[in-house]
Amino acid sequence: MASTTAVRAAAVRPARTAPRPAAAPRPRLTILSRPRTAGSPLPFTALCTLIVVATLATLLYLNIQMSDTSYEITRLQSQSQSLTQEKQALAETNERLGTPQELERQARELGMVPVSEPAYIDLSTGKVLGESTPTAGDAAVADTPSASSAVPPAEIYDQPSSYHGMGNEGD
Amino acid sequence: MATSRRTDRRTRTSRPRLPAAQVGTPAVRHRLVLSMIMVAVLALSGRLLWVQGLDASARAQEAIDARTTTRTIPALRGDITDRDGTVLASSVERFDLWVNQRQVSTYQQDDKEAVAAGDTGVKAAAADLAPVLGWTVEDTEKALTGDKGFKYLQKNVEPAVRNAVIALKIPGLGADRVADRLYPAGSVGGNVLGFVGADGAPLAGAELSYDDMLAGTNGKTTYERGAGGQIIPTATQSTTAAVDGSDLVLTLDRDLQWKAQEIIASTVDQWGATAGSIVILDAHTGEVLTLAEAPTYDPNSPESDSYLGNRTVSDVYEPGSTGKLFTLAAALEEGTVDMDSQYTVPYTMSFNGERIKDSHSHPTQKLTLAGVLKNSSNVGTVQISETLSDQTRYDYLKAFGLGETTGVGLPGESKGIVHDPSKWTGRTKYTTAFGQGYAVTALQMVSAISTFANDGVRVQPQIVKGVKEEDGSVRSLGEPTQTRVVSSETSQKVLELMDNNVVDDGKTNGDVPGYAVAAKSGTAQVPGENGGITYTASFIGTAPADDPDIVIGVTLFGLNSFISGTTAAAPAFSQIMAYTLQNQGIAPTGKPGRELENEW
Repeated sequence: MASTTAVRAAAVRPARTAPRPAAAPRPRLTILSRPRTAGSPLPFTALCTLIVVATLATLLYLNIQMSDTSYEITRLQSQSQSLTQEKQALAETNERLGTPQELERQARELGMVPVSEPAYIDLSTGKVLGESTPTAGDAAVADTPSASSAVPPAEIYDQPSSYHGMGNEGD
Repeated sequence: MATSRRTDRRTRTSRPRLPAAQVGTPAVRHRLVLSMIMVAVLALSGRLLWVQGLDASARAQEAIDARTTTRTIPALRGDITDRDGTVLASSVERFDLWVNQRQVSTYQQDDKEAVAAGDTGVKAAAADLAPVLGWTVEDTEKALTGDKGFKYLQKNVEPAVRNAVIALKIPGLGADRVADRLYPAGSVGGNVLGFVGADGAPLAGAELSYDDMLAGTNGKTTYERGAGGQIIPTATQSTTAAVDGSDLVLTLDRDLQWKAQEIIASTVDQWGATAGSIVILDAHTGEVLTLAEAPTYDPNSPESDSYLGNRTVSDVYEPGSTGKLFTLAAALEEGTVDMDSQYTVPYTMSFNGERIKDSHSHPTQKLTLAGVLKNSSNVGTVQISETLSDQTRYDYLKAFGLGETTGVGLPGESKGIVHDPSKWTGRTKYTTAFGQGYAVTALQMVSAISTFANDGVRVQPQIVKGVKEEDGSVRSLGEPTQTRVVSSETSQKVLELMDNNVVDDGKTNGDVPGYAVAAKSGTAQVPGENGGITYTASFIGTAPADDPDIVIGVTLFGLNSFISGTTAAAPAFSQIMAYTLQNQGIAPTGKPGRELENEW
C-alpha cells in the first residue's frame, strides 16, 4: 500500500511534464539494400546431423553385426561340437562293426566258411596253382569251430548303449 | 526487489542516518551454493580421477578377470593303427556323470503340472533317468538318494547319453568331459598295444614305449565372455593351439594278429599248456606282422585279466632242438662239415665223460647232416659241434642275436641268457649244441631263424613302421640294423636242411598244402615250481621254402608232459602259415620241397 502511495505521490515526473526539447531535424529515411546474409544454416546443420546419425548408425550396425557374429560363433561352435560327437559316434560304430570278431560272426551268419585250400592263377602263364574245392555247406561250418570264445569282442561294447532319448537332445 | 529498492531510496532521502536494513545478500548465497557444487564436483572428479586414472589398471584388471575365461584345449593322444591304417587304439570323448544327491529332491518342483501329478523329487527323477542310463528305476533311485554332495553315477558315458541326461535338467546332475582310450578290436594285439591308466598315463606296451610320439601338448584359449557365454568380439583373445599326438603305425596286421590269437588260444586249450605265443616276422624287413599270445588281455579293461605282460619278449626258455640249426649253420659256415658229411649215431654217446642221449631210443643209425637234423639227433649234433671251438659257437649264438635284446620297441624285453664259454662247464659245453644251457625269448628265436630266410642277414625285428605324417605318408623312425651272420650259401644250405625236415605230403604236421615248408621243432624241459618239470614246445619255420618271406614261430609254454613241438605246435603252425600266405598274397612257387638223403 505504502509503495503504491509513493508511486502516486511522485507527482514530480519531470519527463512527462517537461516540454519536449527542440525538435532536431528528423533524419531522412533512405532505402538500403538488404544486407547480405550468409545463406541458410539449415544445410550445414543437416549435414552435421547426417554425419552424426550416419556414424552412430554405422557404429550401431557394426556392433550389432559383431554381436550377431559372436552369437553365431557360439552357435556354430556348439554345432561343431555336436557334429564332432556324431562323427565320433559313427566312427566308433564303424570300428566296432569292422573288428575281425564282428566280421567273422557276420560272415558265419551268412553261411560263409574260411577257405581251406585256395587256388592261385599265375597271370603270366595262366596256370592255376593249387586246387580249390567248394566246401560242403553245413559240414564245413561244423568243421571249423568258431573261436569267438578264444578272442572275445572288446569289452567296451558290452555296456547297454541303447538310450531312449529322441536323439535331438542338446543343452 | 524493485519495491525494496524504491523503499531504500526513499528511506535514504528521508532518514539518512538510520543503519541499513537487514536484507539478503545473494552474492554470499551464490558463493555458498557454488562452493558446495564445487566441492561435490571436486569429490566426484577426484573419485573419477582415482577410478579412471590412478586406480584404473587394478579396477580394469578386476573386471577383465571377471569376464575372462581360459579353457584348456586338450591335445588328443595319437591313434595306433596297424600296417594298413586300421585303427587299433584311439582316443574318444567321454563323460563322467555325477550327482549331488542333496539337490535331486527339488526336481520339477516349479513345474505346476508335475506338482499336480505328484511327479516331483527323487522318484520322478529316477523314473526319467533310468531309461536314459539303461538302468532299472530302483537302481537309479538308490543312486540318487542320499546326502552326498558328489557321487559318480556312471563313468565314461558316450556324448549322446550325456546330452540326454543333461536335457532332463535334473538338479544336481552334472557331467565332466574326459578322454577315454578305446581299443575297438579288444584283445586283438592287446599285448603289443598295452594300455593307459584312468588318468591317461601309459602303462604298458607300445603305449608306454612310444608315449613321446603319441602324447600331444595341451593348448589353451583365453577370451572375454558375455553373460551368455558368447565371446566378446572386441576384447583380446589369445589361443595357443593344442598339438595333437602323432599317429603311430605298427607293423602288425590286425587280421593276422586276430587269427593267430584264435589259433594259439585254442592250441593252448587243446594241449593244456599254461600259455602260448605266435610270432610272424617278415624276414627281409624285420617287420613283426603278428605277436600273438594266449592268454592275453583286453586293453579296454586290463583289470579284469590276470596276465598283463608280453611273454613273447619277456619270458625266456631253453629253445631245445630249434637251437641245432645254429650249430649246423656255424659248422657249415666255418667249413668244418658239409652237406655230405656222414655220422654214426647211437642212442647214447659219451663225450668227455658226459652222457648225451637222443630223445627216443633207437638202434645205431648212419645219418647224413640232413638226417641228423631230420631225426633231431642230440648225439649227431654234438658230434657236429665238436668240430668247432666253444668260442666260435658262442660267437655265432651272439651273432644270431641271442643274449641281447632285439630292440623291437616293446617295454620289458629280456636279453635272454647266453653264458660266456668259459662258464660252459661239464654238460653245458655239449647241451648248448642242441639248444639247452642258454635261454631265449620267443621273438629272439624267430628273429634268429629268420636269418636263413633272408640270405644269411639278420634284420632287427621291429614293431613300429613309423609315424603318420599330415599327408598320410608314414615317416620311418629309423632303419633296423642288419647283421650278416652267415653267407648266402650257408643260409641256403640250412634252408634246404629245414625243407628236408618237413615232409610235404599233406599229412605231416607242419605241412602247408601247396607249399614247400622249411621248419624245425624244439622241445625243452623247464624246472617248474615244487620241483616239477614242465616242457616248452616250439615249431619255427618258413614257406615257400625256395623263396621265403615270412617266418613263423609257434611256442607253447608250461606243458605238463613231454609233447614234442611237432605234435603240439606244428598243427598251429600249419594253420597260421596257410592263413598268412593267403593274407599276404604269397602264391605257391609250384616247386616241390627238397628231399635230401638222410642216411648213408
